[in-house]
Amino acid sequence: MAPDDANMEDLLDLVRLVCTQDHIRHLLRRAKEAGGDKSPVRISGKLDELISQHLRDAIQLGAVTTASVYDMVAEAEESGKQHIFYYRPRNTRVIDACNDGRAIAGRLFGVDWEAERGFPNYHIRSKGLEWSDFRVQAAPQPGRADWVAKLYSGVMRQKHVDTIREDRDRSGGPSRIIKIYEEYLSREIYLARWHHFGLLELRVPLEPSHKALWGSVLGLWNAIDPAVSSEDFEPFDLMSACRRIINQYADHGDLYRLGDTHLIDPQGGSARISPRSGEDHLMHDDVRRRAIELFDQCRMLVVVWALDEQRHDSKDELRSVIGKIRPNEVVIGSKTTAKAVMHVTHQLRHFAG
Amino acid sequence: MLPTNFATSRARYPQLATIFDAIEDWARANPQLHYLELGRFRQAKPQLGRAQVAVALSALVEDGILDEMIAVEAPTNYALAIASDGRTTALYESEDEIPDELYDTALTRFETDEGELVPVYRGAEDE
Repeated sequence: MAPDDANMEDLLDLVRLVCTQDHIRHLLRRAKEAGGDKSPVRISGKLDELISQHLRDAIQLGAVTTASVYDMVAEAEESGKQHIFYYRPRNTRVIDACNDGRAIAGRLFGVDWEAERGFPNYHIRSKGLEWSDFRVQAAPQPGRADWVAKLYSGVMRQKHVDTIREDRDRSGGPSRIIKIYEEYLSREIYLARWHHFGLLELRVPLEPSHKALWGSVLGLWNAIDPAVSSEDFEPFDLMSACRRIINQYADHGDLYRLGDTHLIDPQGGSARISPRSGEDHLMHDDVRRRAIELFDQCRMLVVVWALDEQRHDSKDELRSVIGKIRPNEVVIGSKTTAKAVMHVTHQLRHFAG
Repeated sequence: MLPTNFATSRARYPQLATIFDAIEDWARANPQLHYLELGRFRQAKPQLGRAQVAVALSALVEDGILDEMIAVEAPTNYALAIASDGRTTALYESEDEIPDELYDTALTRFETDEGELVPVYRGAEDE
């Protein structure tokens, strides 16, 4: 059933706030394919047209359900433009405890959490940290589960919208440049994600300073502390994975391209090496390649992952920085899809051995 | 990849055939780039005359094949900054368009005042 006008506007505002053109096109394309040759769903146009006209029409026609739009919002806001910190449980007791997702939720929100909390709640507009979702998904192995716990927070941010130039006036005063910013309450996503195979992710928004970033990570640990203690986990060091990714670059040309790296010599000295642009491969220059091969240890590595529309719901490349601040951290600078982030996680586990 | 069909400009400036050949070669050797960075091109082709290169690129702009753009070299790693989508090199038509802050290729934010402006040329149809 299509939402009434007020709810429709709330929903479309949410899409405007969170989703990219690619997310919306992907949803509309699936609806169009499901409708066959005579489908009225349209997928061309710029972002505003996609949301205000095509998505609205598709919802009103019943070609796209509101549930699928909320799913798209969840995926968009949880995937990308974030730091992801990976942690491994210290022992099997912790793995077993985390694999009981419902017990985790009970410790976080109380036994009647499903009825009382009414998750997911996408329309929270809060300045403080507020729980918005907890969802559990059974894993293929019995007795195991994946879960996601999500918090929203709002921060007043400024967005540059216009620049006005005022030429020197008659009295001879200086010319002026006026930059106009719009202030808005942002929607910041803090997320803990447990993988049944024994990996915890903490995802926090991109922050301009290390201090703010650590404040976010600490805030998230504190939020989940009633159910998951930081003392039961250790950082999942990705630096050996980085070295293998570098060493095996020639075998994986279809999987990734390398960008900047920060290498450590045996005495603790270091060298940073960057290709000239984001489109260039770190190893596709003999001088750079030979220099990199002299080092054994890597401290930071940019990996640009090739994505595939069928497997990752995106055909864009995905730039990630592994170990930018901590060896268990990945930064993803752009919005992407849930499958793309999962792909990165699986590849890092694979290369970590 | 940068466009490589320069027939119109070649007809107007037959004396610059060597330069057009060199630009085409460079574009084919760097298919990952959809723009030509002037400094990088000159470094790769030091034998070409600076003035002749400038005239050839101006001709390609006049003939609507290339657009002259500006990229920003980051002070943090001396590589060209990437656009706000976190993917592609950021290219701008004028200095007014350049935002106050950009990210380098390792996603480190910097103030564009501290970066160097770099002339680049991209296909006119890439807008």
